[in-house]
Amino acid sequence: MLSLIIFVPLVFALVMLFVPKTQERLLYWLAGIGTLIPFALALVLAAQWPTAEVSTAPYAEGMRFVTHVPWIEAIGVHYTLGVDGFGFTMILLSTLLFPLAVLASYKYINDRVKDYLILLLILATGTNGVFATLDFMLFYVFWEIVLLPMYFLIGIWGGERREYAAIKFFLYTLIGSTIMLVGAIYLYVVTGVGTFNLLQMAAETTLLPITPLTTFAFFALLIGFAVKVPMFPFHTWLPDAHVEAPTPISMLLAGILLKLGSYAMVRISHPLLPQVAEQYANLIFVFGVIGILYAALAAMAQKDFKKQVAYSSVNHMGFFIMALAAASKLAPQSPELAQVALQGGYFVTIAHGLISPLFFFAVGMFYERTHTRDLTKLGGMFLTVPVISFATAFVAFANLGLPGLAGFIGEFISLTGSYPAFGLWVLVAGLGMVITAAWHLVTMRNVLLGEAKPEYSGLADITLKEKIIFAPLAVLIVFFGVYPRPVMEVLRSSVEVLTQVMGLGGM
Amino acid sequence: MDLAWMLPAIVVVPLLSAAIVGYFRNTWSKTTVSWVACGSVAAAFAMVVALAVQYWGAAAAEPIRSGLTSWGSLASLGLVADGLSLWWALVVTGAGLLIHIYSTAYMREDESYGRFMAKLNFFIFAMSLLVLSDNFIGLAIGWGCVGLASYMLIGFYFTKPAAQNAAIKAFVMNIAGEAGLFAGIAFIYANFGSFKFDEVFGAIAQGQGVAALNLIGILLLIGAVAKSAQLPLHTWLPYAMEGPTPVSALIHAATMVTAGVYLVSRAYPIYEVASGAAMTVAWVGGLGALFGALVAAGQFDIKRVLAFSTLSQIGYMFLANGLGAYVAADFHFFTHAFFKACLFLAAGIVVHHYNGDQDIRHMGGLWYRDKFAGLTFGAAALALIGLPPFAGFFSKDEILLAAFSQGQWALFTIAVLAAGMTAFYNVRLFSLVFLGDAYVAPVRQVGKKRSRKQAEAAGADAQAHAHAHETPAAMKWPVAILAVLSVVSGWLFFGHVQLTALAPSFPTLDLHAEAINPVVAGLSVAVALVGGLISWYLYRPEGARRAVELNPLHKPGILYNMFYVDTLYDFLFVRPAKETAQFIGQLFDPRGIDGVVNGLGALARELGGVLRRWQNGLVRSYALTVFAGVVLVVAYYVFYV
Repeated sequence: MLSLIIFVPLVFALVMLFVPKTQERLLYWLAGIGTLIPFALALVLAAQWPTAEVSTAPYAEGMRFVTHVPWIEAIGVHYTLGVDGFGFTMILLSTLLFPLAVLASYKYINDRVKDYLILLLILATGTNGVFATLDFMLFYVFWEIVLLPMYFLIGIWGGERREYAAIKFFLYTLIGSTIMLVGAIYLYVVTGVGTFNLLQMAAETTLLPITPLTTFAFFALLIGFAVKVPMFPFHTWLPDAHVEAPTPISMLLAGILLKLGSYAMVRISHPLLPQVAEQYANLIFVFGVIGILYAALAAMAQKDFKKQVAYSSVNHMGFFIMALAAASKLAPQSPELAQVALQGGYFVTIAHGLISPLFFFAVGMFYERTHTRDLTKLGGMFLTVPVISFATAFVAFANLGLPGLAGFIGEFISLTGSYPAFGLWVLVAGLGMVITAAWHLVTMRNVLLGEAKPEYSGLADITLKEKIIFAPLAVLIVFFGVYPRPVMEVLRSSVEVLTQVMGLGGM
Repeated sequence: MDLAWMLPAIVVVPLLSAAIVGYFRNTWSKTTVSWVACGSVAAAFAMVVALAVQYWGAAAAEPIRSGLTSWGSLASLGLVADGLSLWWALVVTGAGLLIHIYSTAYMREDESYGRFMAKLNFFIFAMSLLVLSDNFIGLAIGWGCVGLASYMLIGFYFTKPAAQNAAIKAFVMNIAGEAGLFAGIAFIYANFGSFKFDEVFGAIAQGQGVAALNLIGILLLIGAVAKSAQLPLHTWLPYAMEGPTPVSALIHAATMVTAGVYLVSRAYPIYEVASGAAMTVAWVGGLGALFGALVAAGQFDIKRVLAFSTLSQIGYMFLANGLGAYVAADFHFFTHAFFKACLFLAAGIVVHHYNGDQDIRHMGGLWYRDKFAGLTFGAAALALIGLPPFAGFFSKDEILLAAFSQGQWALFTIAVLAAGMTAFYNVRLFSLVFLGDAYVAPVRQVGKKRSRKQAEAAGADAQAHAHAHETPAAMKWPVAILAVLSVVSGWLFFGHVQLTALAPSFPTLDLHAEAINPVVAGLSVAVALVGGLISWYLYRPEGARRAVELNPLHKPGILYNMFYVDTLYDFLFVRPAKETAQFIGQLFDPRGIDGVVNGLGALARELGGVLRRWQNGLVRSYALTVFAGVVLVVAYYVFYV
């Protein structure tokens, strides 16, 4: 099943190669179906989740829906798929967002539709692959597959400075992933375990002493992932990429691509070398918290609506970094509190995966109508396009962490879990929340409130297509904000296992 | 009969109504909107009454509980009806219902009437959730949602820049408080491993986690101070008066701003142990009581006077809470809700007479035109001053008594002085609004700043002032009911009644009803009379100070400017934050960090000619290229790694 989820989009991409590019409707249908099938399959898996067999094999312990096929036996590379709570929630998120992105592209992307959609489908294969694989080499292949389509999607269909943004994105992530590869290969060599299976590698690497080389390996992995998250100070590709990318690509970028980094941290860097993670937890915490505050301030100063939202991604992912650092620090002494931190941190990434695509979509709705993202030019939208404005206000409040919506839960639990580890220093993150709230409100005032501007009179309000994209995400934001239990339950065992591993590493 | 199902219903019904009214706000008639919006609050009120009868009617007061939702293994969120939560919920839904009814007349002419009623409904949902939750998370969710309701309603007239900025200010200061509140809750969880009131307080009763309680108490207090507009996070409240008057009555006087009082009362086991935090609460309250009363005496906007009066009265409640007199704090909340809501709603009637002009210098002599407004306003003002037998006397007396009997002389003196100031500003307010001659706009005075057009407009205003408005019944009845409650709710609920109602929520305290202490009561009444008489001497129709302040050339002083706290905060926090943001966002990030990146990028571009050729379109299909690239990457790993 996981293989189908990964490769159905690729198959559709292959089929679409043979469709003439003038058949745009057909291409959209194919792309829609090619992304909806994985979503349907993921829902089937979700239904089976509680009863699914949990693997006990050493290569996939604790995982569900496992596939294990030898691939390059000489160096111990296997085609191993399997998901736990961390991976499965991300697969659900990713398979949900791709059809929405295809729909958002409809009648929005009018140039070279065929190439665009094919790249989008390849991207889907790459992301789903990353979330499902348990073998480092396979992981790396999917990781790189993600990189190329994204580069072209920004570089071809982007805004004015698209080439700059695309190359920046490409180099940033390419350098990051190369460093990551070096780290992983070092661990492979030094343990002599003879396999790239992540769980089997972890069984050996967690026992390594903390030496300069293991420290290097840890940071090599971490930086490779931190670029994707993005973690301060590796974040500067993000605002440019977002500003230049077309709306659907921004949605995917914020919703899923950033989560590749956070997922990789809980799957690879922290389980493999928890002892180093614990040693440097304070350092990682400092970068996380600086990211929260720094990005909040940077967002406040932007004049471009989309850039603001992009910086707010850095801000939110900072909560994940902070909570992860707290979890690795707390795991040896008080695993229960470490679990709280980790659960909160990971919930932040899920909530952000629902909220930020919606926010980018809202920005896109304004851009499509007014052809500007300049905050000094927009204004009075509540009186011009009331429904879109209401939707924007909703998602802005979700993004600033209003209690009762999904964004709040992750941040609240992250803070709760981080206080025991770092004490009152966590209040710096609280300060970041205050600044975030402040600029959200000022932006809402600039864009939504005030008298209607004559130059925008007669703009069309929300369309059916936009409603269809908006509704599922908005419903989930409310639902998980009120009743996060399903997510918590899916995450729980994975969180327990990881804190256990991190606890052992720290002893 | 098991009434537990009512608990979630109390919360959900107003929320549903808010959604429905909001959705149909433009399609339904205003009458339908009124019925649905008021009906939902009436239903909530009826359910609270039913629960109250059940709870207080039973021999052994057993809390009624219900589940609500779950955060998985971390927490399950439930609702509880016990003495404290029912006491608060009665006021929230009861006063809420009256103010909803008042609004049906007051706001009817507004084109966004439906939007207003939907938001008011939403507030009832949020506030009910806040007071009925049996755990800190539910409280925090309600806490955040009342903040949202407050934001939306302060900024109700969203085309007005002043309203927009006031709404932002209120929300941001409350978020700052929430950062403290969340921190406190996080520490509670770290120390006690639970969010549930019962479990946390049970653990405290067994002597667990005592060392952290002072810190927790202070952190919770930060949240309480911001929400309740206490020093030093009070500066949002005067601006919150930009909202429509019913909002000021319900949210910024009767219920939401008192949430901080509820929080401290609810978390009393923490403050019982954490004496340092408790004393901080008391001092914040005491100073706030005096500060608010002083500043209220210097304001010219009728609603701002009342806003600072609210600050001052909530200061009394904090003082009581800090001194361990939780029942007194909750009792003062109870009476204050009635008389302050009454004052605001009566002020709404007053303001209607002046076509929305809220400047008390432009009023005067209203008593002779609207006896109803004068009577209700006067009764509520007497309750606020705290003269017997009006409601405020009884509740304030308990607070003063607590300070007196504990020998907190400094706090006692401050509280008594504040009582004197309370009388002072009330007499001033009443005299300026209701007594003396009606204001005549200076039509002929065409100075540098007044254009002829403005002068004419002012003249037209004065004419409009002259013809009396008939106040609709839907506005009169709620005000009348609240006025009656301002008179009677003190002695009706004094002593045993409030104690039996609330005592079950304070099981570890040894509570007993106190009689009126003649020394304390005599002193406070005497000081109030002195303050009132001085004020009367200065502000009576022929008073000297009145003439000075009514002079258009009069330059208001430090009291009017609220001790320049706003200016100070702007200088200390707002501007540095903006400048840092500018530095980071416009300079450091694009030039500093990105400068390094771009340097590397330039280098790479030199080397990466291949990439550029792809960009130039030498290859026909990018997709094919990518696919080939993927194949190559895969092949590379298959065969060479």
